[in-house]
Amino acid sequence: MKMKLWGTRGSIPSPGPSTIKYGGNTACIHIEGSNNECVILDAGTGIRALGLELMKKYKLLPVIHLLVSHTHWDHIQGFPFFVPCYSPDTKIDIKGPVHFLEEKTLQSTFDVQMQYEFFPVSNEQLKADITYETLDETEFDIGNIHVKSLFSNHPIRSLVYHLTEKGKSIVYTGDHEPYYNLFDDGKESLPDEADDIFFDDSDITVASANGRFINFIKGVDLLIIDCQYTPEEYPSIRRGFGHSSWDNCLDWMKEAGVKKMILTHHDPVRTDAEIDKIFENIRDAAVKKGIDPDKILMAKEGMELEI
Amino acid sequence: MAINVSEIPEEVERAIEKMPPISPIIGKINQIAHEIETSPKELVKIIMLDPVLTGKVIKLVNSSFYGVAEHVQSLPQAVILLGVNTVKNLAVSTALLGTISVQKKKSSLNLEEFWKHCLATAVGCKLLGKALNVPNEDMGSYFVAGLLHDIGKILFIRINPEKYSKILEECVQYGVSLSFSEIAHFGCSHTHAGGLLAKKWRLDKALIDSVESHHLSVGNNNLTTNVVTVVNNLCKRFHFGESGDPLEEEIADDLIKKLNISYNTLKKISDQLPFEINKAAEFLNIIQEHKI
Repeated sequence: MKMKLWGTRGSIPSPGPSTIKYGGNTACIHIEGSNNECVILDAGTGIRALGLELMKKYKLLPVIHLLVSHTHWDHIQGFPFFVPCYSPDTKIDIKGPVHFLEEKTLQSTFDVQMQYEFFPVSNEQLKADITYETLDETEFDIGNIHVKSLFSNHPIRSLVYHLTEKGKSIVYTGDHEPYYNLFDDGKESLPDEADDIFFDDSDITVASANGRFINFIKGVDLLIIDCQYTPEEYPSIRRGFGHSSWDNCLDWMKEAGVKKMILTHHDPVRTDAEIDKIFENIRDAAVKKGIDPDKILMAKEGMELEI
Repeated sequence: MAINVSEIPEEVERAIEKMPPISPIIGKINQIAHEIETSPKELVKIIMLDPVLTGKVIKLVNSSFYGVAEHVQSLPQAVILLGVNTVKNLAVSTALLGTISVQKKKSSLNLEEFWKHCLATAVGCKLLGKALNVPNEDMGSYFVAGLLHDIGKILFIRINPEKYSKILEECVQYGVSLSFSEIAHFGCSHTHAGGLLAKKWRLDKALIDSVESHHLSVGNNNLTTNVVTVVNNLCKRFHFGESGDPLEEEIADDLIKKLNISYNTLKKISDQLPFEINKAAEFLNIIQEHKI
């Protein structure tokens, strides 16, 4: 599989002179299978340039499989500017989770961001043949690529995708934070505090949910992972926002025996110089943890890898 | 007319999907709806006081985690896996739906008293579970079992409150059992209908059994069900809330012997229940005169 990063930023696009090196577009990754399978992971603003590239490359576009990790803006906001949507010969198959809201579907969520108040073209006016499918934890094939999904820990329903082709595997986490014990407020419960016995097994729940995630990324060739925060910011300030810190990523990489890791979803406030500095810290910490620092990469817009 | 109790009437099946919560929690839920940050513990404590919300949240978690059905059994687990806001939003939207239906529908069963019966049974199951040395991690499901045991009655009130009032009146007038009258009017008893709802919600097997079988005075081989049976009878006997069933059931002596429970233990539980219920009522800001 060939992989190219088109958007590496989290939360909101952050263009400008201080983000040229790592990029300012929001989440988008293109995966090309050996049989020309076209898989796009997330439709952040990076998908606009990817759309133009695909139009240039192909006379007749292959079926485009867009796997959305979740429907927060930074993962879908580029979609209205994805030129293949306007091409009548194109088939786009969109899959992803929707949050638990009655009568909402993946399509109705996409429709909302293209309502006339927000965008001049409505979803139904798009010329391409677009299909939508709401996903849970499941497995399916896209050509020769086998795809599995796992729920991540994020404020809305969000999926981690695992792609395998010819024995090689890529996992893209979308947005993910370690599961933690929300009920551990640091206070000792009183022996007769009847209410508190309900929370006694919370650590078991947390360990089991984190174990499922580690199992899902076990031994993968490439892990593209949400790493928005530093250990100074997480967990003390940013816990509960649904993103990880780089020390979480290093621990998971080691525990799951991940072969190579790309750290992405950079915080929008981060300048190139700051990311360079953070990367130095990560490399030092990796050495201390017995991880080869050369197996860790900072996501940059335009970065390409073949696995 | 012969009634086949194994078949479930269509109206019961239709109502299963659209269950509102019972009213006392609405005020508290409205309060938390306007808070940006809700304490996870407080959220769990509020939801745990309502049978429908508790069942719905547990259903949601189990239905979302593909392939791990019947895995999640408690609300703290649900909050860890889904997050505080998801569970809060679910509780708020379900409670608002309930506000409308409670205002529209009237039944002679006093819903607040009925809620107290469910809550008393829930707390009693937790206390009896503790006395029987049930491990702490299972205590949450004992509480939930007590809370949900009469969920079938809520379903009937939801379908046709007037008809359910008639059933309750008939029981008093002719001295027939509630189940008998329910079968005559709805085609099935509240334990049967509740069991179907519990299955639809994909609750744990022990929970389904305790909803279905809590009127078996001889008990069965499910400890949760036996605990619910004993505590349900205890709550009816001492009028902790109002179950709606005018026939007072005897405390199941054989079952109590089988479980090796002393009467002293039951006495301690019944002494503690009014305090626990009042504590919950205070938590929900229910006004003083409604306290037992």
